[in-house]
Amino acid sequence: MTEPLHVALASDHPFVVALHETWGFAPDVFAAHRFWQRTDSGGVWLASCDVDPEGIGEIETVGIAVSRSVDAPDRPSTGFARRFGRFATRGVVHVDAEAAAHFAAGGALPWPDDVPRAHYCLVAGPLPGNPAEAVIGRGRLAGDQLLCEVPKKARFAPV
Amino acid sequence: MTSIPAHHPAAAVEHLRRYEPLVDDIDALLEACTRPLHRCVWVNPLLAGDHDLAGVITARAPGAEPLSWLPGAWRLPARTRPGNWPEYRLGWLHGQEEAALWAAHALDPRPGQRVLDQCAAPGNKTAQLAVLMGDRGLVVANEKKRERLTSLRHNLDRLGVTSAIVTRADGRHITDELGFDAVLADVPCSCEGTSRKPDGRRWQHDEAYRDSIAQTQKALLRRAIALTRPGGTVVYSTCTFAPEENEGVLDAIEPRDAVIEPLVPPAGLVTAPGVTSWQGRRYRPDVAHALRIWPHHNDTGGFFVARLRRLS
Repeated sequence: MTEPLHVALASDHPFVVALHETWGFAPDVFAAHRFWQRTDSGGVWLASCDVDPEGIGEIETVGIAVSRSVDAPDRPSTGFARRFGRFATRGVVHVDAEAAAHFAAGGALPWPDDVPRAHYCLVAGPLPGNPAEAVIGRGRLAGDQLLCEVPKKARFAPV
Repeated sequence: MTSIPAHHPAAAVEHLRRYEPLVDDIDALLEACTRPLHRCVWVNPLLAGDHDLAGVITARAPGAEPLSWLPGAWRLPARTRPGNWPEYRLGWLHGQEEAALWAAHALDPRPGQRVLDQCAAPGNKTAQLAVLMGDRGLVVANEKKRERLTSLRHNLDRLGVTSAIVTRADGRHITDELGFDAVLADVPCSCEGTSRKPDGRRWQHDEAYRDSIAQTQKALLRRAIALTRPGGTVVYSTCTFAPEENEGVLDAIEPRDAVIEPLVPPAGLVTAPGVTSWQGRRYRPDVAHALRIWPHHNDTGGFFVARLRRLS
């Protein structure tokens, strides 16, 4: 019998627990979802709880990517950050419009003095030309800098 | 195989005259097909949440207007490039050809259902299906061509869809033991209805190509019906005008396997019924329940939609 390509992670799996702790997600944020780990790549995915890959052939992806590794709950994907980052209560750096535009275009920011240092954070701010605040994506601490880890295709510049 | 550049007006006009017996105003059709196509975006509630984007859309695209027949969708001036907007990159908005918007709605998927998008790339309609289902249930987004999987995966990821599984298989040979409640068979076609698009797609419409693609389309539709549970629905759609690829494909389905149901288009969307005969050939009568979207009726591209219900 072949090993399944996707294995569901229980709610008390270390990855799921650490994800909640790192980002301060309320316990019910993912109540309608299930985490899956790919047994070939090790990546973690999140899908609606109605999704079951069992019996479906030639699967490429299940739901949206959460992290490349079960060991990296602190390093969420851009897609996950943008869908669920608004529910994070920890590890989010809120910046002003000018800094948000700079970061969204791929630029680095100084790490804010009032934010505890961590390897990774989520950066949120107003959109260029739109007062709505959005989670722009993941940032990384390097020295005193907050580097943009948003993939180039997902970055944006003022219109 | 003859390929006519999509924006070669003389060639396009010459070809579209083929459909003179089918349309109410051939000159209006030909004239419409020489104009650039409006852009269209729809608001993605999975990521935009409660944000009211009306002010942003009209500020970024002066002249933008909400679509009267589809809440949350906007018609933009032809030269607009919404793909560069922050809201687009964030997945709050998604671009899709206006005429193609209704196919997913015609399938009418419900939260919790098992749904198949048989030929899914680039994922526009897959995302629509997931949104219509409140991202609850399962949408299997299948694509045969490996090179098209990237755009499919990228769009679903950007739009935050968690209810989709992306698979790679020839749509004619998909296997599934549980049965789907609904299947969207938005099949490859000669794309005549996309001639107004600015991205230079080519028509492929000589007789040999049409015969070949029609055989593929029939096989895809038969498989779609076979994958649907009895009583479930299948939407068959194309972006072409050719009856051989539309009503002719529906006609190949045995009446004992599926009926073609009447479709009621939303108020404000002008449609024409499916044609029951073409070039001396008569089709099964219920192909008249299919709907055609002609470019000159709504100032859009062209599209064809039929909804079938599996009987046994």
